[in-house]
Amino acid sequence: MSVFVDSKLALFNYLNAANSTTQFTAANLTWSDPKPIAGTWMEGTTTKNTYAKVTPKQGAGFEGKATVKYNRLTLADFAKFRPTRPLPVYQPATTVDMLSNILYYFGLVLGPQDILSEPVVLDAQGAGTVTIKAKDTSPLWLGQLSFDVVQGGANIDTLTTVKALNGLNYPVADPATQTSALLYTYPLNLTGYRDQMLAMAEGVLSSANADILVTALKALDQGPGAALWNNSDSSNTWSLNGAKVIFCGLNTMVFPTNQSYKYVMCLELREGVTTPTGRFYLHFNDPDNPNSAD
Amino acid sequence: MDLDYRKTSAELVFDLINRDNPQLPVKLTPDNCRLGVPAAITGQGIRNTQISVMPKGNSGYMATTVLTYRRLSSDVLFQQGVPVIDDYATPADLTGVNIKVESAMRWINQKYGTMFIPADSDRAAVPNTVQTGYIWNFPASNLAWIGSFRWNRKATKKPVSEQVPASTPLLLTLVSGVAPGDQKPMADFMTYGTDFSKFTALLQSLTTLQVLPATAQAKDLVSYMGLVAGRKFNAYAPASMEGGLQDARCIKYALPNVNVPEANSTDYNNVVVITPPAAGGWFVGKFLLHYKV
Repeated sequence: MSVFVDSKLALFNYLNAANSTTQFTAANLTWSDPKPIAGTWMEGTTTKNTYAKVTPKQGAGFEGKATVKYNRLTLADFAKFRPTRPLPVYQPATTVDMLSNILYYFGLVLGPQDILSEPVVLDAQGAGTVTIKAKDTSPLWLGQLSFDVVQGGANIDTLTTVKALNGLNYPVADPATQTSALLYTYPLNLTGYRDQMLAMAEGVLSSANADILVTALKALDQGPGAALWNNSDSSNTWSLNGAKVIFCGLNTMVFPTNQSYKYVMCLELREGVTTPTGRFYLHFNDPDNPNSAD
Repeated sequence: MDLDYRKTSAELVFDLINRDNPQLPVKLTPDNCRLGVPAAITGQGIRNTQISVMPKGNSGYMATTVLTYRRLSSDVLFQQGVPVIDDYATPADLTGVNIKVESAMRWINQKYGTMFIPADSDRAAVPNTVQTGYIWNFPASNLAWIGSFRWNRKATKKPVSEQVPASTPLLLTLVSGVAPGDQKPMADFMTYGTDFSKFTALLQSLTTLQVLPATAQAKDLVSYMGLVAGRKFNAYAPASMEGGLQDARCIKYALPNVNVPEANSTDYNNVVVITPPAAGGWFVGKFLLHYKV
């Protein structure tokens, strides 16, 4: 009889093995709650400590009933086999909450039918000593077992409550329909417009500055927006009209920018402009001077 | 909430799990969890992939969970169209050579902000004979990306930075290939500018590369050199000893001469050059003994 299966299943396996058969299952027999033999008339007739009654279920092909005598196992005996290290548990409210940890770390199948559900009190670090007690009606277990526990063993399956993840969606909500401004302008090099861009103040772009950026983007853009950039206050796509300069200056790790550029301009399009989506980061360097070592 | 896309495919998936499950007591990371091989699924809305997440032994987690998410086509990353990388290979470099797609990786990452790693490519070798239409295939086991994308190469001149790596400092020399800081005395400076015309008979005889003759005149010459240099020279000691010049090699040149341009002079029409023996000696460089005939 293995301790590594459900206690009822273990008993049926035992019953079948003892009778050289495979026909008894939970589907065709009802296994009653067990009772101690001590104090009954059977006490003097057997060395076993437990008896239970098995009764055929309807349609089982048997009739009548039979009394099965066997030895329930003592939980404390398991302490002889289990590792001495503490059991990792994660904030169990009751002893029954630890059963999956006992199975995972000790390989011992205990069910709510086996163990009394009692409150677990642990210290601030989630550690302590816990005693699990067998129910009187446990088919397989008697007695109790004490062991140390430490914080750990959080069940990733129950704690990960959102299993259908809402992504990947980098870096826009729906990459299938939206053009990410960040990705769209990431490879562009606006070094040729350094002086004009550095002169642009933070805040809403003047129309003249928007024109400069429209010209720059049209010149550099290799994608579908190349012909579409505009400075129209009535356009809701590819329009820099009313766009706001969030930042313009030395590149910084704060932004998701290309660190091989010295300067970056962060732009936010006018509210209502839907394409491209999100913030722009326009990268540029100092133009190279062959006569300067910098 | 948008997440920074400039991460490896595994990091992208971990970020996604953590973003959607902020209640997890400890964030899931490659250090505390393993991701299984992603499996394609259908009929789950936007989600096309199923993956198992298995905590490592020291993670504080137990059990396994199975999650679904969307792997992306890499089209979303290259919204400017087909990515183009600059490649300085000249046409002569292209013939008969196969390159691996991943060789383009660092350029693509640098230019487009992606964080591809070699495992993100099937690493198939492609003929290095064309400029366009390279295909980057993502392996079926890739965690974040599916399908493939095309990339092109634009031949450019070789960047000078590739030829002058900043990590290789130049080794400046003064004369005779001797670097500053060499501990041996430099002969070039010791006798330069002195007129050795009074030894003309001896110096004129040194027409082939040879050691100094063991003559009284040679001894006088060496003594005079020592006087000029302010050192004690010895015509009878080998150059392995301090001041020794017995086995130093001498040769005469008529000036001007392309072999010793540094010795060319408006005042002298001949020079004898004395260099250390092949095995080296106490000095480096060469003595220049100018004289007039």
